Amino acid sequence: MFKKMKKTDIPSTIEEGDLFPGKELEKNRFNAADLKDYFDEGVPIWVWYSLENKSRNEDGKVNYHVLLAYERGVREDFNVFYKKNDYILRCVMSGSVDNPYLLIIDIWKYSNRTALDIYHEEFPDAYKVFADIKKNTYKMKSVPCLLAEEEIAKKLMKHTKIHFMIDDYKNIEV
Amino acid sequence: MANNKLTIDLTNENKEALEQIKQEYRIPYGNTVNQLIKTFAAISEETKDELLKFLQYNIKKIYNDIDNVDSYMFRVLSAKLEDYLNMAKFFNGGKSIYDTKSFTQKTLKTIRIKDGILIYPSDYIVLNPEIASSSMYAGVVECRNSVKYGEEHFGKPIPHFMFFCNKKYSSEYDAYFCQNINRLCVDVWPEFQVIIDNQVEPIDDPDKPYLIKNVEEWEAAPTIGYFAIYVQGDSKYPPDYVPVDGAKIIR
Repeated sequence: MFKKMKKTDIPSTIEEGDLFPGKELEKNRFNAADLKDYFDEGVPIWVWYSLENKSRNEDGKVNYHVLLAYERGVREDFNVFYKKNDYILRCVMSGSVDNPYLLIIDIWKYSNRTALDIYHEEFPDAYKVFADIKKNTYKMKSVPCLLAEEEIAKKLMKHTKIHFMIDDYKNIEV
Repeated sequence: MANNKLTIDLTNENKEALEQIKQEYRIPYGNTVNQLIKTFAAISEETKDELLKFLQYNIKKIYNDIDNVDSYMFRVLSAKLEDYLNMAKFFNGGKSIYDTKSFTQKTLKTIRIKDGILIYPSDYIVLNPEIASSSMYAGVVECRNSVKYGEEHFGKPIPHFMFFCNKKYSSEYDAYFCQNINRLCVDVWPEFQVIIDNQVEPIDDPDKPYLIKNVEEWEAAPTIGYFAIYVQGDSKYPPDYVPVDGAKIIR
């Protein structure tokens, strides 16, 4: 019934439109205020980092997010950002095509500044951005957060972000 | 005009912008592109630096104010910030200057004290500036849980207070001295009385030696701390000591 997570289960390539029927946002017209509005409305935002299609950013430098994905052994990385209570969660999609699930890798305390930071630091490297208007993301299987909400609140008093490594989940059954 | 024809890829919105300029002002595409390059790319390094400083100042200001605005103003300010960032990126050789650490770095101020200079963050509230020139040292009042307690009770973090004195180390601050400092804090920031009234004394647990009986209550309290500001080169500190918030005295 349960399947232990393996890095090798992560799909190496995913066809465009396969998994995210959400509305594609035109990157050049999508701004920080739009992102904040989506967060406020509870709309998850999917970001596609792609070695195949965007290995370098606009400055001609190696795409940092793609590099991170490559280190995990994937050529296409899909991250979703959404608001939950007073926090913004960033999840990576893991598992297999038949059994995808979300792992929380970053947590921020939600504020105007967080929306700005995410927009300016996480989106420029994106190949494509989608808004999950129908909120199907919430129906996806996800691994519970490794920290209790009180611990999260306490840590975020001192730090702007909590980061989990994929390896932090290695003993978790999914 | 020389025949320097180039084929370039434009983004959709840049193409639209060029077309709009042509329609509205009857300026041909080439003239607009040439004017833009002359205005922004071909300027002196000195002008570039000045513009970059102006942009950095404004970006930092917007970034630090942005949490205090509502949705409509957020849209206005974030668009302005993006304009400034784009310009700064251009003047910075194509490298983004978006750096949250530098945006939130405290601005430091200096003040002359007896036989030296004190450097301190500009958001510290100075309690007794009138005795700065006759004081050899300075100290800081910091409350535990300053962000959480302050947000919950006053809607803002409890600030840091700085005082001048002639005591080098905090071990020299006695109860009478601390009471006087507290009084000065209340004078400049009346909410501080609430903090004084809510101090929690730790109670030893008779059943469990070395443990505090009211530990939860004590940990949640805004316990007031008094700290001496580091004097640069003081041999009591390690040689690579990094002063808290950059505050230090230089002789």
